[in-house]
Amino acid sequence: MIEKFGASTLTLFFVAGLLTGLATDVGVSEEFLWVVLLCLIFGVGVSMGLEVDRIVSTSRKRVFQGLKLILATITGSLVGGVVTYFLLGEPALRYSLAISAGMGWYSFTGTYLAGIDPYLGFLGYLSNVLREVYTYVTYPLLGKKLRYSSISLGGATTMDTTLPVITSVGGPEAGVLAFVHGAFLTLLIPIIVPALT
Amino acid sequence: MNYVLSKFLTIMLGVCLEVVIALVAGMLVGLVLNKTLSSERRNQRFTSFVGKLTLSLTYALVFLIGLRISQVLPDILSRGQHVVLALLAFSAIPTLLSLVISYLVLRG
Repeated sequence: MIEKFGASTLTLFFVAGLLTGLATDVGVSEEFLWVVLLCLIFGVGVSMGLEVDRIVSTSRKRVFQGLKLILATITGSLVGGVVTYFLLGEPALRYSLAISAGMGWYSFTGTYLAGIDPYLGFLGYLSNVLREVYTYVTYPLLGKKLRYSSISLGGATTMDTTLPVITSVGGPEAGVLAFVHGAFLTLLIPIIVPALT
Repeated sequence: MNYVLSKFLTIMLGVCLEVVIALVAGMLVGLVLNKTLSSERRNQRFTSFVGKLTLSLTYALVFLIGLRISQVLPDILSRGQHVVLALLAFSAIPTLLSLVISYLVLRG
């Protein structure tokens, strides 16, 4: 499922939506956003089911390393949410945790939190887009020095958008680990984020 | 035991069931298709088709999020530099801590 689209194209679509909303009276209901999100999640599930052989075979090779990496990414993101809450004092702790638990999956986190409060959706979407941007910028610098641990930078994006960067810098071994890491996080995020709110 | 079970059920019901159902249903459809599509080439073509469909939905969703946020943009911008600070903190701190913890765990 290597999707060759970058943060710049997504930003264009985001800005286009903003401008359309500001220039016209066109609005969008939460129900409609929710249906589109469920369709996207269904599509992600189909992709994972189609690639189950690849996921299983790559998981077997690096089970413990992959598990450690996934747990470290989740722990780091959640602790990050707590630290950010204590620094800023808002939004509420559970929403701060939910924003940081998006781990790079901006379309899910943004849409889910926008259903609660559009400001939370704004933070959930853009902060997770920025996580992807940071990965593009910092992985080429850190990938060789810190090896596999720098995969956690990308969160859930390591199975698709940031996979090419990780593979080209870290090599095929890092690519395999990144794919498994991203795939498992993609499965866990739709459970973790709603559970926190 | 009953306490643990009731606590678990409360958490599970708190989790949005529609999301979990959509994900599991998608995976089941994918698994069935994976076993049904006989040739490797056909499987790859279908995987590519689903990838493009998911990509289109992502673009549509990002556009709709922009549209939704435009309705409250004046309110968001009135918060001034606090918004920029929140965005930077919510993106950088979790990313950095993930990296640090991964480094400590994988090094050991």
